[in-house]
Amino acid sequence: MGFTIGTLVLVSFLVSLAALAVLIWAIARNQMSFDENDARTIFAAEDARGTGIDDPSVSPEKASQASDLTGEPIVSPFARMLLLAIFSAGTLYMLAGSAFGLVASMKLHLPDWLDGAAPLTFGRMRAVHLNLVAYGWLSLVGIGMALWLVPTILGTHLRLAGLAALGAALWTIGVALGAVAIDIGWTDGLEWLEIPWQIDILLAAGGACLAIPLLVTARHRQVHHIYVTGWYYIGALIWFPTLFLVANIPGLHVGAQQATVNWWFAHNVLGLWLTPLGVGAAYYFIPRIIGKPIYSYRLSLLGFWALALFYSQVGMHHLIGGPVPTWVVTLSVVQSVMMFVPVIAVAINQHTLSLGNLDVVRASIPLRFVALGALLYTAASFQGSLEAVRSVNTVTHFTHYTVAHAHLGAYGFVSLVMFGGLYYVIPRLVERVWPLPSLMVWHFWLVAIGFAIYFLSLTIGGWLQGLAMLDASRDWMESMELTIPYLQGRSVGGALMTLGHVLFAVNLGAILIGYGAARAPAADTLAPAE
Amino acid sequence: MSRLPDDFSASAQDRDPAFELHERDNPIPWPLIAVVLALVVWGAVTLWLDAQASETGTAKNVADPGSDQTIMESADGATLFGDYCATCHQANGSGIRAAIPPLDGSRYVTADADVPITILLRGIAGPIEVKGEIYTGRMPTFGPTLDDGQIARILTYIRASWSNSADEISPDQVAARRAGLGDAATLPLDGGSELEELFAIPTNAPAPEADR
Repeated sequence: MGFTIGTLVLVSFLVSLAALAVLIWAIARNQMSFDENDARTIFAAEDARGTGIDDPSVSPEKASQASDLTGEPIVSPFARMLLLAIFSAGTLYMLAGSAFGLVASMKLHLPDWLDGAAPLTFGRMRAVHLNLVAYGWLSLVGIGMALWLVPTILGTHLRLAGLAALGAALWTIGVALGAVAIDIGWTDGLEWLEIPWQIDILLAAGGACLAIPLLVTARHRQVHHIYVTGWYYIGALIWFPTLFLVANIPGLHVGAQQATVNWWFAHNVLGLWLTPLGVGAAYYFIPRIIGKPIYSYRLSLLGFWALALFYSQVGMHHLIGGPVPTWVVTLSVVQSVMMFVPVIAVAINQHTLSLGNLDVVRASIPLRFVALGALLYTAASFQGSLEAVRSVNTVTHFTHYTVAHAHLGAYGFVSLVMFGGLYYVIPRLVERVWPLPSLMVWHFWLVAIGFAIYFLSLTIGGWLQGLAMLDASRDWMESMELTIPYLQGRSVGGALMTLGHVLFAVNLGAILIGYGAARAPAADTLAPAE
Repeated sequence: MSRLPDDFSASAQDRDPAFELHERDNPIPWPLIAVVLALVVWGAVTLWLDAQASETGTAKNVADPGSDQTIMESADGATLFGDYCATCHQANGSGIRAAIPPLDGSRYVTADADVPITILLRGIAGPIEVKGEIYTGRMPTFGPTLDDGQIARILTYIRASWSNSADEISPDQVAARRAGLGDAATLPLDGGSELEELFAIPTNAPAPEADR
């Protein structure tokens, strides 16, 4: 056999897998031999802090001022205001993004509705929806989670909080300007990269201002062993700014190469930015709320490092059948299927805990959202691996099936985990409980049922659409017409989801303007009544 | 296990506040290791097969320049129609509203045999009125691409399909027409007006409006 690029890819694949196995083995062995020391280090930090942040024996005021070894509170009053501002901005973007998404969805079965002006057309509203929910809602709330989780698990206060505030402000403004630019027709014209590169400068600068404080905070950590959540968040904060910068440099990539970079970036937004934010948060909230440890440290290692190795080449499966070298697409297909490895590892670690403690899942609204989101991460990833296989992709490519899959990942997984995280974190920031608890239950069921309708409609409709398009004896218009009832179903599901979002926003508004009882220390546990 | 309280206002709470986050020291379950090994083998084989194919391709995958044409030369009218015509005119001959004229019920299709033969040989560039609508697309010139037998089979299929009912067309008729056209065979027809000149089929097209 001749030595081709394909052979080189094959050799690199095997060498990198061997290196990954050695790396995981080495870390696991090293960490295990220092296991007791690690445990003591964590204890020392917690002792020095005086109280665990959720110790019921102290008053809420004292608990909220849990301090690190330097005597600073873990979450300073400034950081508290910053986090609430970030979460509020993210929620506003979510409401706007939901509205744009719902209108775009309805336009697919009501094509003559709102067709009077270019900014109201489907092509623009859909792009605005994507950018508002991906860069506005999910990214901002994810950044807020990072600013809360990283100091909390590292046992130290947030360094350079002022710089982080500047970064959050630049990011928020950048997303708003980007959405307006797209709607008036000024875009870079590439999916996931619609925001004009001139405005991207704001986002890149904002991202840097957010990454630096978190990395500096990680350097000052008070614990020897970084809990798994920290790996995902620190990884995401290094990966995403790099991806964003490379993909957005104007004029660097042209032609088929540009398409390759486009999908390399677009899929990595999900896999190396939103996924680590969601998985990392789930790794914190599930054991924290249930009060039991994660199943296996070695599985955590496998899950994290396999994601880091495989994911960056996954995106080019969007170009199956396109004019790019076959080896690029085949490598992408193989890496997509290899994603089964980290996903199964994370699934064992997280689902054994939440499915083994269903009573807590039932009693805790935050955990309900997080546990369901984590389950849907497994589902979305398995589905994605299969969709990358050429024989399945032949049917699903260019259909609504792909749209359903994208929402299973970005909404079913990341958004639900973030809802759960917000329900958990915000009462700790404002020192009050949620004022309208019944709305939380309504929120959960509206988005759970709404999303089930959304996902099943588009999945079934999209598959039938794909089969119809492949059938040469059927008119192409048939493949469009048969999707109409499923598109109507998607609008119904989307409307229920949007209603749930409004309920969440009402609750958030109420707790922010002072409603809700003070968090009593005695009520600070979910322990069953005797 | 006793039931936890139903009071969701307290729901942002932990069951065990004294719990310290950590991960246990369990091994990686062997079924997962088996799955990893199976996936690695699958991935390596897939990449290896791809490496074999990417440089020169295997004999099975490289098209024999002759064979494709041989197959298409003997294909029946319906297959040829699916390959060359249905992309635009649709499998049911309906065309596309405001873009591609229908073949089903078109007076040009069922006219004297020379009319559709000429259209297929030369293609069309110019406005043409079919069933009350005016179309201004560009139909490709098929003369150099298709041989006489193929054109005859396609037209015979179109003229007998859907609601159409017109005589069969023989390869000899196509050959005669091709010879008769001479050099003009590669020039597209100037829409319905040239067809009116050649075959006296009324265009029915109203004069173009000045403001369009």
